[in-house]
Amino acid sequence: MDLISSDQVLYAVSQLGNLKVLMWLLVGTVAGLIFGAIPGITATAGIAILTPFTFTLGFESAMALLLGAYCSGYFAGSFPSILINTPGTPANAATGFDGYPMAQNGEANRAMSLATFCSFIGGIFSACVLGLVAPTLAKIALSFTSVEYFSLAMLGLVCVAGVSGPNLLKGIAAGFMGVLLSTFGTDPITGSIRFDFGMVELQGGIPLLPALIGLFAITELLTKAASADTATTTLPPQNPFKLVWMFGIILRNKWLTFKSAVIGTVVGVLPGTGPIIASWISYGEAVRNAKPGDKYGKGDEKGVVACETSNNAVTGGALVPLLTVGIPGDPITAVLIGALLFQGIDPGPFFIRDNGDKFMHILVMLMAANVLLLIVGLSSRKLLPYLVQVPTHTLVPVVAVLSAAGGYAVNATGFEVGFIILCGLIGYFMIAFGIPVGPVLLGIVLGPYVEENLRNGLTANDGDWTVFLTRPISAGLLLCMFGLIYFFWRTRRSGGALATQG
Amino acid sequence: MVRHPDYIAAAFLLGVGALFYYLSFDLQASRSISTFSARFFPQLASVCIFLCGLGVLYQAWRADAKAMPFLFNRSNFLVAAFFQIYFLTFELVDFRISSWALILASMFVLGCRSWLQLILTPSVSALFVYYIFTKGFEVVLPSWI
Repeated sequence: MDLISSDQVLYAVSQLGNLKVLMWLLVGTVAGLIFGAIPGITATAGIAILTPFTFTLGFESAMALLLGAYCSGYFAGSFPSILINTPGTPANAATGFDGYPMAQNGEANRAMSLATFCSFIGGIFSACVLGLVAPTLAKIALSFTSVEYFSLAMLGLVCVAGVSGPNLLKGIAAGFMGVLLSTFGTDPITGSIRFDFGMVELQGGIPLLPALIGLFAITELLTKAASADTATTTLPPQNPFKLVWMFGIILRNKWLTFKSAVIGTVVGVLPGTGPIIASWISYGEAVRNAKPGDKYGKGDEKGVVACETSNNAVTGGALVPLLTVGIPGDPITAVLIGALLFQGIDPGPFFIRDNGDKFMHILVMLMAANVLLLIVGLSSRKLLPYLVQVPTHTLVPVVAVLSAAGGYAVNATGFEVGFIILCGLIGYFMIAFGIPVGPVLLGIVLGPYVEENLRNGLTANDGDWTVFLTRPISAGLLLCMFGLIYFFWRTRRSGGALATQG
Repeated sequence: MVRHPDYIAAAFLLGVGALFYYLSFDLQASRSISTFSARFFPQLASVCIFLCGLGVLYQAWRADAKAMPFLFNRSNFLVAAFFQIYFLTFELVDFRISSWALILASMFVLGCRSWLQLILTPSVSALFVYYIFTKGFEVVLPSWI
């Protein structure tokens, strides 16, 4: 049985001729570029702020806007990394190791062009993998029962908790806090109301979009407001760089590019990982295979190639678990799930089977977003140095106003706006005390899924908890989960010991 | 005096876990299969949070003393206060006026001293966001006129 028909493919491709969709794709790409390039505002916060804009758009335009921002937001953080040695997003931190020394040597144009082109290659590669792998995985997922889904969701939650901060317990606790918040409102099975605290607005559950705007955007703004603008770095005069030279560099580093694209895609597919891990693994792998004459850390173009190819290769990979089993791979795809839910689409095992046209649309838009990223990224190299130096005093209040208006757009009530600031302040204190907010969001998104499948699985098996261990796929997933907990715990212990030894 | 910030984190987690476990007793319990009632899952999540809190408490007890994290300086404390006023009174005040006031006050507190920027940025930004949402996306923002 084919999950996708040729008509659905044709429909998705035909959207490339739809000017309205292309315009929203361009708007998303530019917005993602702006949010990604401004240090301190992550792509996750950018997409959270953009999501309210999709309410009045149709599915096609909404996805074009968000996927454009998704791809360019991941990549644009490389520019401040290269120009001022401050990554726009944590995923671009490794890029600065070689990108900034290149800029100091007068090769900023070369580094920025390479970052753009490698991001394009990584993005296209992972989109192809998404197209090839997702339908097959979706077929397999159709045979899963509640038991397997519960175990899979728990695995995703532990993955995110494990990579979200230096303390595993705090990460897991944050995930369970999100799960607990997801129980607010009407119980999906008995219909009784839980934790509404006498507020009618809470009977429908925690408002997802205000929660994520508060947890990501407001928290980041308050953190940014605490630090004054750092002095701008003065770079020496930059050498010109012809774009045709780029092909030579990519050809010389074809295996590194390919390997980094594979690493990024595979890391993206694993629930809970994301571009930060992908770029560090790729950079580590590149350094491990360094040849005599390579000068990693002192301005080697291979460092930029490895990091930027892999962190954008995550984009397609992270959509695989989202679109096949409904589990977001990282906070940014958790935000995307919120946008899909607002469009009336429930991503999960039936998504590709029931919405082949929509899946193909996402795939085509992801590819188009990468092409646009290349065009916009290369043509805006001269403007971006100004963008990365937007002063904090302008950025913070303007983004706050956008966030409030976005929160109000959800239901046109003040409750959502008030909820944003509540979440923002809680998130700010949580981060100050080392409790990450990413797992909270994932817990809110995955909570209903975990609860429903746990209760259904137990009810169908007469309350027998051992069913999660006796079904082979579920047992394997839980084994992976405990293996990961052990791995994260060991990694942190050894990291702590190294830190103690200086 | 708290000698490690993780004591605060642990107290927070223990408090949240205990509070919601207690609150979940007000939720409906099923007569037939009590473990799968509406309170079953919130209680399970609360217990997990509480256990994590205990673990963090143990880590804090074992760890060497550490300074408390930096929370607020004058500027971001004031900005947080402005945000609270703005967000909590959002529906009551005309969006253009409240946004203009928020941007102006925050810019000044965050160190902007250019009169031109202080005049132009709040007005242009507030009007731009207002028109984007109301005309572009048909969102009715609070307005007096």
